[in-house]
Amino acid sequence: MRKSNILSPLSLAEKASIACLLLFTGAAFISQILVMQGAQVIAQPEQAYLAPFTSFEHFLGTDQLGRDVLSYLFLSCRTAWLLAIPPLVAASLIGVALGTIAALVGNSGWKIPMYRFFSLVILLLVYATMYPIIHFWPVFAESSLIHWAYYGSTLPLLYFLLFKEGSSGNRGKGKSITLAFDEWLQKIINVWSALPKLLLLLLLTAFTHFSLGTLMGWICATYWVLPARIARASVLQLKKDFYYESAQALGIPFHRVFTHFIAPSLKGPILTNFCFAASGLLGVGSTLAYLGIGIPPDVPSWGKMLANARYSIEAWWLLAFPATFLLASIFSLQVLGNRISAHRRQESVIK
Amino acid sequence: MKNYCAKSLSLLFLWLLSCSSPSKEPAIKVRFAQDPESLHPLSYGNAPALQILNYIYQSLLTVDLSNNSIQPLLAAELPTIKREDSVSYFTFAIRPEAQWDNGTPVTAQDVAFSLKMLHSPLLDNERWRDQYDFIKDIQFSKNSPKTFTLVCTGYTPEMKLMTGDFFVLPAHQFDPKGILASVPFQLIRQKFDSLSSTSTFKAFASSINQPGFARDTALVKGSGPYVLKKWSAGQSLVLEKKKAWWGNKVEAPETVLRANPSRILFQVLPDNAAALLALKTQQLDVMDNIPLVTFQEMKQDKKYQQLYNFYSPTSFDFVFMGLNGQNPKLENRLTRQALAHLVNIPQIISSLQGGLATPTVGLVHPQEKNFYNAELPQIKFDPEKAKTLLREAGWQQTSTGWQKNVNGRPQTLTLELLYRAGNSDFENMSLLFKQNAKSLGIPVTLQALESSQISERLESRKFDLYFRTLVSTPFSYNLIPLLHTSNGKEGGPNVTGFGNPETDQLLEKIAVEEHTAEKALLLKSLQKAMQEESNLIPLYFQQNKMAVSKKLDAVIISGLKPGYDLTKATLKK
Repeated sequence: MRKSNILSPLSLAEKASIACLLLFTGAAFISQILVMQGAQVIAQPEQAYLAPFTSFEHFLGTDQLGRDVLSYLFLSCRTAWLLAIPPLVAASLIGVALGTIAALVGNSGWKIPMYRFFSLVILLLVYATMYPIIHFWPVFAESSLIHWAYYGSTLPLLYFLLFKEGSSGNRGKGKSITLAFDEWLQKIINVWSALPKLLLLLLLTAFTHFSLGTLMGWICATYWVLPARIARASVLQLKKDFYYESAQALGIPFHRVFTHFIAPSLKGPILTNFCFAASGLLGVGSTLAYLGIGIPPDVPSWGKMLANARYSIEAWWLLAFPATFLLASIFSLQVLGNRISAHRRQESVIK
Repeated sequence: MKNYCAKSLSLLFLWLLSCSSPSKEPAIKVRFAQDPESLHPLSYGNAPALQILNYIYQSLLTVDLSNNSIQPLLAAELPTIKREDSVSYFTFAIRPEAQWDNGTPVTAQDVAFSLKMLHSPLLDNERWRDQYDFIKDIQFSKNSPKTFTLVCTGYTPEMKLMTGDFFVLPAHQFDPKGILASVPFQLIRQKFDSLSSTSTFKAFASSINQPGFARDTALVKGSGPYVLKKWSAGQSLVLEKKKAWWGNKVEAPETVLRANPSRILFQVLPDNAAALLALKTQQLDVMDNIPLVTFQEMKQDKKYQQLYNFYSPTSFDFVFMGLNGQNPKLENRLTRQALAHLVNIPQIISSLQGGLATPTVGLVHPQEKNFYNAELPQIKFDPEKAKTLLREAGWQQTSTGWQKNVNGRPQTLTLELLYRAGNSDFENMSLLFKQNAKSLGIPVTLQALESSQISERLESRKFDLYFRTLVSTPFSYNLIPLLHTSNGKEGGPNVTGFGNPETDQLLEKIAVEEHTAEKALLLKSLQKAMQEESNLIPLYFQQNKMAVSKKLDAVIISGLKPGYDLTKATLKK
């Protein structure tokens, strides 16, 4: 039987999509380097609304502030990329971790000794009390290192309290609390997925200052739900397979079970979801910029240029070029998502 | 049978046709950017509401938009003024023809009722209580029910308009039981707190605060030429001229009493793009505040040149950048002056405003030639000068930016600039300022906030810089609330922390000075002091951008709000 291969001959549209995405990513990386060196699109109001293809200096014309459209669109690739890819990678990792844990431990598989549970509550209280001191006390206000140390210190402590030997199972002496992890995760997912993503992002951004980092955080907090659902469903299905039970019976450590059995079966659906979610996010990021929400005014974005196009009907280039860039990257991700999804279907039929 | 049916039907149609109402004269269609929300004469909250209320209710005096002069409206003449020590007396006589819709005359008792409404407890009238606090009492004439005298504390030139600038309300409509008629005006002012607990005032307040007075077509009625015919919230309002309005009976009526259009339709179109589409398809006759680029494009288009007249009257909307003088980083005026040199005003006016803005050196409009300090040079865009000033202020340029020891601690000059979200002019100006500051090594963070959030930050003094528009008038130069140090504390309106004992003295003198020559000298000194302090960096006075249909004749265009007067207009057939 012919083995399905994801790298089997690509159609023209797929080749074009990959090329487009590579260009998009390349532009985003170069822009990031340029921004780190302090580059910005220079506004020259005297040269506002120059038509495209009339001068070599401003090949795609200029906008209402006399900024070069080509440079603006180039730097906007960074914004679009930063708002789509890193938060989605983080959201997928969080989703997979939560979904896998929920499927594996269920509602009764995670027990914490009472003393550890109370230590956790006290720890959270201490951190909540420290928050205003760390954030608003002038001594710490200017040092970002303190903030990193503050947030970073939670991770080892949480790991120690939740996962360290003796925290799971009932080897420890004394009473212990059973965490209904699966049930709680299901409830959170139900509430979270009841709200449309764009609406949720609009609500969340209203609480914080506009910055690219914050918006990335909110996107991450909004998009973990679907990967979590996919991971939970796949792992639950996998748990019933005989080879997984054999692996458990043989005492194969969890990390090997994860890398050899769980991860390969999750890869396909998560990647498909990633492509479609990323294409959706490009649209959402541009919509937010169009509405002037979440993204600071000095960060270039395709959506912002589309918003500026409303003021002049004659300046068609402010509408046409960012729309082309946006649509090209969205379609490329959709084509890629379709290919991965088709490949998975084919693979399951072959099986 | 068929023949009989056909004949009956034709007769029915003929009867229906003869019954249909006569076709109405077409309405003048005006664009509103927001719904008036409330038409309560005490608690209305926005400019469109005031515009509508001015068609329905009348005040004793008004401003003629054709020449910006104060004219009597309900009053027969301008008041006679008598001054005695710390008290001044303004005597008014109401026009003999003036009457309410039910035929009863407008009397001094209605004026007294309106003043009592401005000061009664439990009503939404805080802002009026403060504004009209100077009116101490009302004295009625024994000879005429239409003559009365307002007794005022002190005297300022602004009182010439202020004493007659409140809506005169029909007492019989708002207070049919005559509750306020039995309580003297002075008693309401003096016993404000104790009256608020009486059951009579509680009942009165609940009747006045009922929503009907804010939107019911049967209750929103005054002595003005128009009645509110229909109001679809968020969509449109229709005003119709009263057939038997008292102003029609006045022989040789003055211009302020002319009301030509029989119907005016206000279309509520918050979205600029939708409003422009309506304008381009001739569904609007009047639209103001048109975005610059569209205004310029339409003005050049022959098609629209045939349909509309385009106007760009200069307004009294003063655009400025405010700096927080109480912030340790901006405490030194040299630092503030340095930042003033980083604003390229000619560039902003020529490119962002298309030349449709008037540069200024201060709060006084250059049009006010007597009071404007024309000798004062405008602050020029000069990064080198800014650098020198920063060094003089004690800042040192290092690899990490401009640094200085403030209160014993090293501080870096980083700034946050606030502006109203959605205002594209402010956003573009902010981007240009950020670029100019960056070239000098000063990082500026831009923060687009809602108007209420900006006010909150300004009141709590948690800001560095902000862009704002101040709506001023040429009738009042009482700048004490905005610039006096007594209002500089947290929560006070002097948010930039401007002022010193000398400027306070200047402001106090300006507020009471009557003679033009002296007042001009004082105002010019104030403008000079403001430029030296640079707490407010003046940018320009805006010019309104309006399109008025060529179907309309004699529309008065003005720099004062709302920017046009439709009452004199006629619709060409």
